[in-house]
Amino acid sequence: MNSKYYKTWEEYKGENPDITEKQEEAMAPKMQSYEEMLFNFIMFLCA
Amino acid sequence: MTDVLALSQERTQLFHDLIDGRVPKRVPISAAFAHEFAIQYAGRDLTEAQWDTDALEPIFEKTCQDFYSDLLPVSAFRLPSFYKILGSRNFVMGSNGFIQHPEVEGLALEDYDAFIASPFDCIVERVLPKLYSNLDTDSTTKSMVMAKAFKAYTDEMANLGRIYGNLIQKSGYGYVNFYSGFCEAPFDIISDQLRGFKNISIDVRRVPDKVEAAAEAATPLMIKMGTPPNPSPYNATFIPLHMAPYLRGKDFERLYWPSFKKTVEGLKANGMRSFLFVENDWMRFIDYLAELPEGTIMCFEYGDPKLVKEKLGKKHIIGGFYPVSLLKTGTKQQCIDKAKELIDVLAPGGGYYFSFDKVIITLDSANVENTKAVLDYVAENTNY
Repeated sequence: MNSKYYKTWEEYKGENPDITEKQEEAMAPKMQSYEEMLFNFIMFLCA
Repeated sequence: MTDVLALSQERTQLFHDLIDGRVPKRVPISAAFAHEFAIQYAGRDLTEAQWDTDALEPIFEKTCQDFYSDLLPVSAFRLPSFYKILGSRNFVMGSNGFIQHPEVEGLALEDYDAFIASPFDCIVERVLPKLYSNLDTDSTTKSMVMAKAFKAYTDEMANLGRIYGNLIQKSGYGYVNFYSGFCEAPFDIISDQLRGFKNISIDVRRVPDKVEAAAEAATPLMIKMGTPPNPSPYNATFIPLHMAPYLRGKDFERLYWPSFKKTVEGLKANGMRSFLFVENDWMRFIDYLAELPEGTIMCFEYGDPKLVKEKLGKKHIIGGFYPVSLLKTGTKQQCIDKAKELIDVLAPGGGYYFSFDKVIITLDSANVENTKAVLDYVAENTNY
């Protein structure tokens, strides 16, 4: 999805190159889940 | 194994058989009551009780105890806390405590191009501030309002999730969820909250190219929205259909159907079947519904059950048609006879579950004794 307000993990990682592989394993599912939750909330608000 | 666990397994099996295309032991039943009904049925004040979702479990449990269903029959969809924080214009609580949806315009006519270029950005930047007055402010205040609303929403959903889980366990309901995800047909999301019923009716005549492009642009958002984190073949994404019966055939064919079909196919590709609430009368479009992926679940409001069985019964899973209005106005015997009539038409060969033609939203929507009698009748008299 092309949006200023939604980031995939890959996009996030691109903006934060200091994230190590070990950190990524722990971070990625959690960070992405918040991204998805906010996306769904915003869509719910106009559905 | 406890009795409740055995009951849950039996009910789960009824729906697994239904979904897998086998004839179940008996006609599965999915009764559906809104939280507003459950609150009123428990004798509580709607204007107060829906603010305290922590306390909804015993309220929902009373409906579960008194009305037969094989799946959890109570759910809450729209709660006041986050709408109030946001200053909602599109969902507003009436004096009786019921949240109403007034006609709104979230997307201005001149914003179609922005929506087509980037629908999610347009929703965030232009639509939300029109629908929610407390987001129509400076960016700092807006972000704080949004944070509070998101917190309220996630709290409410967490409470409901916990309550649903407890009630499924306690009452031995089946582990099948037809509301595992939610989205809309792309044309409907543009119509309902963005342009509004009145505006879209004009747009389909004056700017059909924009409407077509907007529906196309909304399609990936709807597929994404409707795909839950852990798709399951025994769960479904709920899609309440709205505008098609109000469209001319040529407008439906061009502006409604292609993006809707892509949405259902996209969900299927992501591992989700769709559960369609086929609102109003879709008989003009029944051959289109036959094109949807096999095993799509369809709850019909109105129409011809015989025609639906004939055209869709071998491919899709059919429910609905039982008029809630009859539960309100009929005698107990008339209500039971109607259930018999529908079951005779729709049940043979499987692919059918019993449900009312719509969710029972308030206590005065139906006669409680008639409702209980019909559900008990179906539970006790529909073995294959």
